[in-house]
Formats: sequence, C-alpha cells, structure tokens
Amino acid sequence: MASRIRVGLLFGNRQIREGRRLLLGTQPDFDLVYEGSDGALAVDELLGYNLDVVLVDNRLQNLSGLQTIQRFLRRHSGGRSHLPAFVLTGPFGSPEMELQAIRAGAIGTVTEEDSAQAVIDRVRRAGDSREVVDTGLVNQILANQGVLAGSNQRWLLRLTELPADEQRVLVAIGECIPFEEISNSTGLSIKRVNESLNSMQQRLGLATRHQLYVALFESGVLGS
Amino acid sequence: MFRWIQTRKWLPDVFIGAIFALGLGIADYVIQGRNALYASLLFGVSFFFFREYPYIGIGFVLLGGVATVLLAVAPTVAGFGIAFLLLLAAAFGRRVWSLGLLAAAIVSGLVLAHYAAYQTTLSTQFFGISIYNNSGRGWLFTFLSIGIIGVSGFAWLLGGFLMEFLAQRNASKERDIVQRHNLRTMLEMAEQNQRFRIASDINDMVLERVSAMLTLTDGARYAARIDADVAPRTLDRLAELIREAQGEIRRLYDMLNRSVQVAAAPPNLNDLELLAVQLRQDGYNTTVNHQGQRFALIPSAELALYRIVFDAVENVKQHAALGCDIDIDLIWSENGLQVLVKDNGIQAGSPAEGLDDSAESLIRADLESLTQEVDGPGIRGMRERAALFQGSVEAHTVPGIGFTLNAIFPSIDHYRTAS
Repeated sequence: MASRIRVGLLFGNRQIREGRRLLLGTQPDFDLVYEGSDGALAVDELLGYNLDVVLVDNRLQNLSGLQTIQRFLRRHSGGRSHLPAFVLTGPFGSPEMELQAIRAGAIGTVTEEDSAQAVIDRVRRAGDSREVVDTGLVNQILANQGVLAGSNQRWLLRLTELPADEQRVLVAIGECIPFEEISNSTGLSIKRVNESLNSMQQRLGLATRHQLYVALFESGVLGS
Repeated sequence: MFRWIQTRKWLPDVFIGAIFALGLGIADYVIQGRNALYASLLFGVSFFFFREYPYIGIGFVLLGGVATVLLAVAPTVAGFGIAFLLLLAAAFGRRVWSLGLLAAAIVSGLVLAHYAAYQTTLSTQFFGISIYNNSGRGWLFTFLSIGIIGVSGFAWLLGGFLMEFLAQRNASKERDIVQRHNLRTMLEMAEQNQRFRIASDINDMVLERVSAMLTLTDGARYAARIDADVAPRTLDRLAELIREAQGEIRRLYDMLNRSVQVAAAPPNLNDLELLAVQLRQDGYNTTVNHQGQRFALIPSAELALYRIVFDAVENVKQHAALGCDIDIDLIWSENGLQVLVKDNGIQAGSPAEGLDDSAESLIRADLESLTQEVDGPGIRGMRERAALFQGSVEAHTVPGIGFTLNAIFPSIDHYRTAS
C-alpha cells in the first residue's frame, strides 16, 4: 500500500476551506487531519499533527499565510521534528507571489486560477518525502522578478564558513552536476550529501531546499 | 483694425476721448477761441487710439502740439489733459509705448513752452503775466518746461504705480481663486481616496465569495462522483454564496456610481477662466473672450474643447517667450463655434534670442507660413478630438507676431444641452 499523505488545510474563509476539503477528501491517499483558520494559532499547533503538507491560504485570521509559514519555520526548523511542506494558495498567482512564497519557506503555490486536478497534483507532489526543486520554474521566477545571480553577497560570506565536506558538495552544485551524480563526483555517500545539504540549510537559517536554491543563486554559486 | 472696430472694443476709448475732446475743448474755446478748439480736438483724438494703437495716439499728441503752434494759440487746457493720457498709458499700456508717449508729451510741451515764451505774435501778456524782456521770457520758458516735465513725469509715475497696484490686487484675487480651486480639488481627492479604499474592501469581499464558489464547485464536482448527496447540499451553499456576492457587487456598483456623480467633474469651458488665471500667474498675459450667444454643450464636447485650448496654450508655453499675450477667443454662431488661440510669442521674442527683422527674414517667414503645414503629435491629437464633434483644427504661424490655432466646429449645436 502506497504511503498516505497527511494534509492540513489552513484557510481563513470557512467556505473556501470546505470546498478544498470536499476536493482533497476524494483522494484515497490523502488524510485530512487538520483544519484551521487562525494563522497565529496554527504556528503553535501545526507541529503536533505530524503533517506532510499544509495548504495555506494567504487570507487567514490574525496573520497572513506568508507570515504564518515564516513564523512556523523560524520557530520549529532545526529541530528533530518532521516539518510539513507548505503550499501557499490564494485567488490569483503571480511570479512575485511565487518568489515571496519560496522566500517565506513554502515549496510553491497553487491558486484558484488553477484547475482542481492541479491542486490535487500540487499537494501530492508536496507530500513526497523528498523535496525536489523545479529549477527551470524557479529560474524563470527569479528572472521574471529581476533577481540576479550574485546579487546578495551576504550568502556568499556565510557559505565560506562551511566545513570541507559541504564545500565539496557546494562546488559540485556550482558545477551544475546533477544531484544523483554529486555522490560520485564528491566521493560522499548519498546520505552524506543529503546531510551536507541539510546542514548547509541550517547554517544559512533556511528551512527548505527551495530557499537554499534561491540563496545559492543570489550568492552567485548558481546561475553565473 | 477691422476686428477692433467689429468687436466694439473702442467704445470705452471713444467715451474717454469724447469727454476730453469736448470738455477740455470747450474750455479752450471759451478761453482762446475756435483755433484752440481745433488743437484740443487733436489731443482728444489721441485718447481714442491710445489703448489699441498707441503709436497713432502718440502721432495725434505731436500733431496737437504742431497745430497749437501753427494756429498760433497759447498752450491749451487739453494739452495739459495729455498728462492724464500719460497716466492711463503708463497704467494700462505697454511700457515701451507709455515711454514713447511720455517723450512725445515732453517734446510737444517744450515746443509749446518755447513758442509761448519767445513767439512775438502772442500778446506780451501771457495769462496775465507781463513779459517785458528776454529775461522774463527765459524765466517763463524755464517755468513752463519744468512744469510740463514735472507734470508729465508725475503722471507717468502715477500710472506705473496704478498698474502695479492693480496687478498686485488682481494677483491676490487670482491667488485666492487658485487656492480655493486647489482646496476643492484636495477635498475631492481625499473623498475619492476614501471611496477607493471602500471599493477595494468591497472588492476583497466579492473576491472571497467568488473564491468560495469556485472551490466549492471544484470540490463538489469531485465529491459527487463518490457521494451523490454532496451535489444538492453544495448547490444550496452556492446559491447562498452567489446571493451574498451579488449583494456585495450591488454595494460596489452603488459606490462607483455615486462616486462618478460626486467626484471632480471634468473641466469644461467655464474652467478656461481658471486656466487663464493660472497662465497669468505663470507670466502670460491671457484673456478669454466669448463672442456671440454662447450655448451649453454636453460635457464630453466641452471637455474636448477645453482640452484643445489647454493643449494649444501648453504649446505656446513651450515655444513662446514668457510675458507674451495669449488670446483665447470663442466665437459662437447660431450653429457653430470657432475657437482661436493666438499668441504674439514671436513679437514678444526672447531678448536673448533677439529678433531677426531683416527684409529677407520677414519674406522667408511669410513664405513659410503660407507653405508649411504645422503638424506633430500635439496637433494630431487636437484634430482627433475635434473630429469627434465634426470639427477641424488648423494651426499656422503669423509672421513676426506669433502662432494661431483655429478650431472650427460648424455643427457644434448638435451637442447642445439644456443645462
């Protein structure tokens, strides 16, 4: 039996949440285990539900969706607990919103302009235990928003403080070596490569691979 | 000059001229006889022209002086009335012409003073003063000269002071008008901003309802495949949501419609006066004249006319020298309207640029004005606006004077409105 995805719904509007519950409730591999409307409350209680994915509407009570994601990750990342992947949702999509969502710690967005099937697919992808960065899409968003490679030297300074193993992984990433081959090129095990990336995220104060990708791009390691 | 006669701008000048010519002429006639009356009439005629054609006025002042000498009369009462003419010229005329008139008055006065003092054909008694010898004549000439120069200079200075006084008073009034207009606009803007905020809030509410409808519909579509009972339940919810959204849209509709009525009205022909005030404050001597029987037009027609005039004066501001005259004439006929925006930007000229008034240059300017068609994005925009109301726009340079824009709307009465 395929692994089930524990889904949380965070919507300020009860009826919109109900619509999403009806939709996602039809999927046999989804368990809807959390529903909420208050962003501030969600920051405190989400962790207790051991969620895989949280679909967050930007229109919440007390906090916006972006603020809720930011505060939750700031408070809980770096610990041993399993953190959910956040998907931000709202009425309209835009590259600006996509970038803001990634910076806040979401792994992407899905909007009401997208089809119902697209919403289901997005949640399912987010529920995959391994976070995969769609580099083409992220590059497109960065280009659209005028973010230049090497535009933030703050990241670069912090990257120079990495230990040797992580530096090797970083160099391999900079040479655009596919993730699967980084292990071969660096001589590190896949587990060690993953650990290096996790460690890199922690040192940079980042919660997701998407954030790490943007940071590496802004530092100039990628995209130059 | 024909237009000047046609527009009856000469009426007040004739009135002033008549008062002086007759009033002072009769006094001269009583004191010195018929010949003095003739000289007085010439001085009086100078009043007639001083405002529109000052050089003709100056000519008559000199002619009056010559006539006084030729007709062998003593300085006339009307001759002293020239001082008043000087005052008017300095107050309302151009500086260069008022200076010309001052010079003419002093020259004429000195000639007359000399004639009165030394001409032996006159009585040895001059207004009761016996002139026995050359020394006495000298004193008389000196006394008359100082008197004439003093009176003329004083009148000229007084006129200048009057001009400044009137300018300051008008500027103050115009500042008040502009300030009131600005305050009104600020209030309207504040009100409008408030409405935008409310409209934005209502829009958010509508958007949320639409989001709910969309997500409920999507959810129900999928859920109904598993449980058919979901469909009627969801339809009930959707009907409720649609009704709520309609209520919000209605509020938005009312708000937007009300704001259209209350918000700052688009400018119309009445606002040309305010435009003229602003131009005068900017340093352009601007007038707005309606000729003929004006009738009210629909707002879009008035807006188009206002915009054409506005663009035309903006063009003048770009190309003409500061301080030039801008005349905005709206000539109404039974069915149509002609809008003329004239400036004397070339004549006023920039001192830095200087005016090339050589014959060759004038001929070239004449030819260019006849052969070259004025074109550009500005004039094309005006033509497009005019075409909406079956109008046409022509623009041409008047050699040596300035630029004239001529917009003609032969059937503007189709856009007449009762209000």
